[in-house]
Amino acid sequence: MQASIDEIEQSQSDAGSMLLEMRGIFKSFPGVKALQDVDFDLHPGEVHVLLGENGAGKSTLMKILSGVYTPDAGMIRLNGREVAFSNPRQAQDHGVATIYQEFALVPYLSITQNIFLGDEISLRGLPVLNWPAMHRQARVALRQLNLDVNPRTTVRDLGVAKQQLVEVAKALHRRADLIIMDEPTSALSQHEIEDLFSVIRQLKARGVGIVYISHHLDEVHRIGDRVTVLRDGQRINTLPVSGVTVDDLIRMMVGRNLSDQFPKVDIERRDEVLRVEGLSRKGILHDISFAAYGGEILGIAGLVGSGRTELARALFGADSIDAGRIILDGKPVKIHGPSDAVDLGIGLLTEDRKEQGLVLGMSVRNNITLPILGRITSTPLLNVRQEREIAGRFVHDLNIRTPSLAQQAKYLSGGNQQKVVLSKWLATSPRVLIFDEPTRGIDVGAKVEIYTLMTRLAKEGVAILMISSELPEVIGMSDRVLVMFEGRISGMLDRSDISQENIMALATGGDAAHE
Amino acid sequence: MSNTVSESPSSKVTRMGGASILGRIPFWKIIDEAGVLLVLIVLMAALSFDNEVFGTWFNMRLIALDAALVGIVACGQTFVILTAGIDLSLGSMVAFSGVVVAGLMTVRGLAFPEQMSPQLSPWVAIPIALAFGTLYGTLQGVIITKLRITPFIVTLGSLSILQGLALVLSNAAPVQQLPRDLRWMIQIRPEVLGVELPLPMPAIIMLLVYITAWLVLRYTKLGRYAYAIGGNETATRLSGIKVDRYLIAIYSLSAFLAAMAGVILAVRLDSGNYTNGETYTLDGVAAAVIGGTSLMGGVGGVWGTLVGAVLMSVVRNALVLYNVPSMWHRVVVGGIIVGAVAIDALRKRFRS
Repeated sequence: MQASIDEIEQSQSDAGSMLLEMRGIFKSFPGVKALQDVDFDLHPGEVHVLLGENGAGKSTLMKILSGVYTPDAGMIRLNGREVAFSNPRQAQDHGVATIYQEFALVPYLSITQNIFLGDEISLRGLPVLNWPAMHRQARVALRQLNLDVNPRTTVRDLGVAKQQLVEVAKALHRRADLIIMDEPTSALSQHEIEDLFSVIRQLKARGVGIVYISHHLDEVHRIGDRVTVLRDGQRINTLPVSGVTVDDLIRMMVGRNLSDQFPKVDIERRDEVLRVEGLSRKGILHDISFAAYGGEILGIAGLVGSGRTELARALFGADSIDAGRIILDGKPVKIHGPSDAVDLGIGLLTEDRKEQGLVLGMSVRNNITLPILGRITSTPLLNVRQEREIAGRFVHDLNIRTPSLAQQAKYLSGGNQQKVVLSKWLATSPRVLIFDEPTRGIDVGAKVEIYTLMTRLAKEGVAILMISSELPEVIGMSDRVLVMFEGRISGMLDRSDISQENIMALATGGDAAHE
Repeated sequence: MSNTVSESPSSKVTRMGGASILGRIPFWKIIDEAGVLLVLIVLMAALSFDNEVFGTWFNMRLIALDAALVGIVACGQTFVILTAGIDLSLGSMVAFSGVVVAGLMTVRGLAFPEQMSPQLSPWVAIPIALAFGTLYGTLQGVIITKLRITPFIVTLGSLSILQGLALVLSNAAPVQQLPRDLRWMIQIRPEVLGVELPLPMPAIIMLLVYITAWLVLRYTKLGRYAYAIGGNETATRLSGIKVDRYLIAIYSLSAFLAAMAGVILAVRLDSGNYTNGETYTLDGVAAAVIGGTSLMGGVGGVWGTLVGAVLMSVVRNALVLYNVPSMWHRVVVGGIIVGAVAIDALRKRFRS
């Protein structure tokens, strides 16, 4: 079956018009066969989605294409000509641009300076930069991407979505005809994703080929033309997106059936655990009031910048509040800092695991026990034996894949890192656990594991607050959904009212339709 | 599922560090933490092969004596650097505490106020000097954490403030003739209960400091948090740890150790002077960095720092033995600092 589809593909494509052909790519690292005999190709004006779990070989393949790695064997042809890149610069010179999850922009320089970095225009014959000309060209480039900002703006002052478009502008300025986008929507709100997609369609119309890496399976059909699935360094299949369902893709990615992406279980709601009354933080949060119950997963939805993360930080004591009360298990509490919150049994899994959740250079064990060292002993001394026991239990219990407890957290995969962060909070026996973007950058299999753990915690009576930009996740896992808009609560949806339309309406300042 | 953790019990034992016998022996920790130890061993072997004086026990005592006080300062500096901070005031603290302790004990006394000459017993004067030093460190810690001023700036200011205070308190002249009964702490051939110790007293004190520091880093919350704060201060704070409190403790600790070195140095030179320990600040940073402690924080340890301090003393010693004009010493030592770190960096790159 695979062969026949390949043949169809082959016959459909005129080899001469192929933008990119990669054939029989092999790459090994010490102890790992990262890629084995992988084929990949791209037509001009095509969006080719590259799927696979973490470690499947997507990044390695793209790093070969962009000149970061050299393949052990295999052939790469760009516009019909065979190429061999030994560094990223050569790939760029051949029109291959990469937009990484972490942007390669210089935050303190202006948009123009970033676009022209290393490629500045000088006044004719003089070693003096011609800023007016560069600003003019930058403005044109931005306008083509429907981005209406002053090119003199410092990049740092732009939102994530606009920074990404600046990256695109930079790529186009360098005459890229092949753009690799690595998880471009992971930090974008629904609106911004729409904007990005319209830019992508525009790029397609101009004949730019796009390799699109994503964990969001729903995006495959929204933006892709063809999809290639990698697993364990091998190409599983390449198909037109029209002929494949999300379930098929998941099966190809994980090599087995995932019965349910969202293992939601109905749990009886228990007593009120957390009540927030009139919580405000000047200019950011306005009069936030709600209650959360034991056994409940309360989804918190809203656009990026609507105040969801800020609400979590305020509850956790990471930011101060100007007004309002927080009531925990019926008693008003004062939270002056994260240490108060932890003592009271509130935990926060931050949206940014690497920057805020983990000490990457420390061992799995030390990360897990970090918040509870004070509880294990009341003396200044550590109790390493007990730490090892606790950490070992969580590693086993949550099925954290690590060679040992002494492994540094930075060497774990995203999903396992998230499970270490979760272990750390479980160790504190929380009453309230706030998840901020719990599955960002995590592959499908690990996502389901995180959801299952979330459900198990709810069953144990923990009140769970789940901030998420992924609507399927919010809809699939929440018992109720609190929607925020411009720092206020714009609505609270009960299970029967939860729908994509209602959430989006509230998140953009509209009203929800009740059944 | 259960075998994800217990699959390789043997590798687990060695890699858990704390559980293995070898992991408990400082010597092996040194090898692990600082490849610079190899540089030191090779250098010492070559020197003793080429020079008959170098390898003598007497010369070893001289090296140890030279390394001792910088070593104590560098130990405190290592704690600070582990938290991704730096303390540039430690050298001035050596001068300050030396002047204070000398002034409190001697006839000449402190120039301020009005030639105060309390002539206190060492048992009173030394704790006072250490307490002042420690309190100053606490103050620095409070300014750094509560006012959120970077350690570099705060301690740079203190470098000047403390040296200035030493000048004022000593009226810009050495305070001399310290009590003779303090000589025990600087003996070259100390005897304890009739047994002659192999190293000078300051080096013995330094070793005790290092062993304590190592235990603190390894077996106390303070030590664990020092690594955590240096590795990721935000994540540590968001784990509910009172980061400020521990940072203040660490700046107090480093100041305490520098004040202690200052007292011993004043006794050794029989002089409390504002120039005491001038080079100790940067030599201490150099020792820590040579020893593998990262200025970015979160990585390193005290045994590497000890190796770094000894390495610099060996080089200084060799320069004397080979009659290199003293003007050149600082040039060579500076070169060694960069060279040693470069060798270590190359070694790590080669290994990976």
